[in-house]
Amino acid sequence: MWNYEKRLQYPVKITKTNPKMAQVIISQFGGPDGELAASMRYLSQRYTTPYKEVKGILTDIGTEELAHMEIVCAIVYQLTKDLSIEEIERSGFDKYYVDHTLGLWPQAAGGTPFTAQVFQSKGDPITDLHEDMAAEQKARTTYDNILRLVKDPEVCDPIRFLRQREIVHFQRFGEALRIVQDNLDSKNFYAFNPSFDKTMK
Amino acid sequence: MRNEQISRVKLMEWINMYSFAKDDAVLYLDTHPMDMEALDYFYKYSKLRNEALEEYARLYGPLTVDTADSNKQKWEWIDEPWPWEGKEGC
Amino acid sequence: MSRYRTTNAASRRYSNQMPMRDSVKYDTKAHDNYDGFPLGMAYVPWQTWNEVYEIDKAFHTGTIFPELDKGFYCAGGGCR
Repeated sequence: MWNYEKRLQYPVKITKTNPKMAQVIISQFGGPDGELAASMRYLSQRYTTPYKEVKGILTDIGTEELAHMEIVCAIVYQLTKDLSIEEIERSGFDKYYVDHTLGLWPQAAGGTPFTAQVFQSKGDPITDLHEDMAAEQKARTTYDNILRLVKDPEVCDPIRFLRQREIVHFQRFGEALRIVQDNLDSKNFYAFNPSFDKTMK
Repeated sequence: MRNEQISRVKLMEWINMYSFAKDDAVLYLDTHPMDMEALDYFYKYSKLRNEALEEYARLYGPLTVDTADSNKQKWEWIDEPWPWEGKEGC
Repeated sequence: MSRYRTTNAASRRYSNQMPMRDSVKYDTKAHDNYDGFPLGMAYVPWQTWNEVYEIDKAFHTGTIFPELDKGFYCAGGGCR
């Protein structure tokens, strides 16, 4: 089960609003390679994983991604705090505002609502870990793209932190894959699915 | 940190750093469960973090429901500010 | 012997002896298994615990591990 800690994993203190930037950064909340997708992907995959180290890392990284989702939401919240109607109109944020006012709603920058279709939980540990390694690289590239656009150091600071976490997560999922390999016959890793085919465990 | 009251902002900085060191150690330990150096590192920062959380709860209100101070006469958990608001000590 | 130590040695050997794509043709049967890394699979090298950053630097970087500290050099529209 989950507990909540009343602090952000990394602080967000943004003093200047920027609704255009908020519209871009929201992709790391509800977009295809965002933190919500990452969390749901890992937390979903862990149930049928046969190896304790892999259950551990999927649970712990899945949990950390919820904390990252919170940081992204804090960034979007502060970038849009107390906007006037004129600022909303001028920035193009009006399309989001009409449906959500200044409330946070998981969508991609282009407006596509969050969906489970952006991730897979395939029920095979080799496949799932490759999915996870790819997810971390996709998230890193998204943060690279955000960093090219962002000029405000108060925004860059937490974004750089989040990006660095993706690189660490990639390494851990890679190690989890090595552990799965160690538990299988190296002559043929694909002879059976250890999450499903009971007789060959 | 014992003789004079540490500021809310400063104590939160320590909690953030101790917690982060612990967090990165946890992920490493998940894939390296027998690594004694990592284990020692985890216990060191976990202990410092727990002590700092108790101190913060006593002085400024709880950051976890489990550290809510039984000496207080009201439910401080819901007090402002909440972490996404960008105010001091978050 | 801990699995972590043997695979670290293996991955160091692997990085020195891995045949490059454009090298001379090789006998696939003999090279099916490069030092314990069979074909048809991906392998991430094992990390070992070395020096870690001071917690202040670690926190602001986003990791305690210098070996995983890989910053982005093209922020703000130009690359340094």
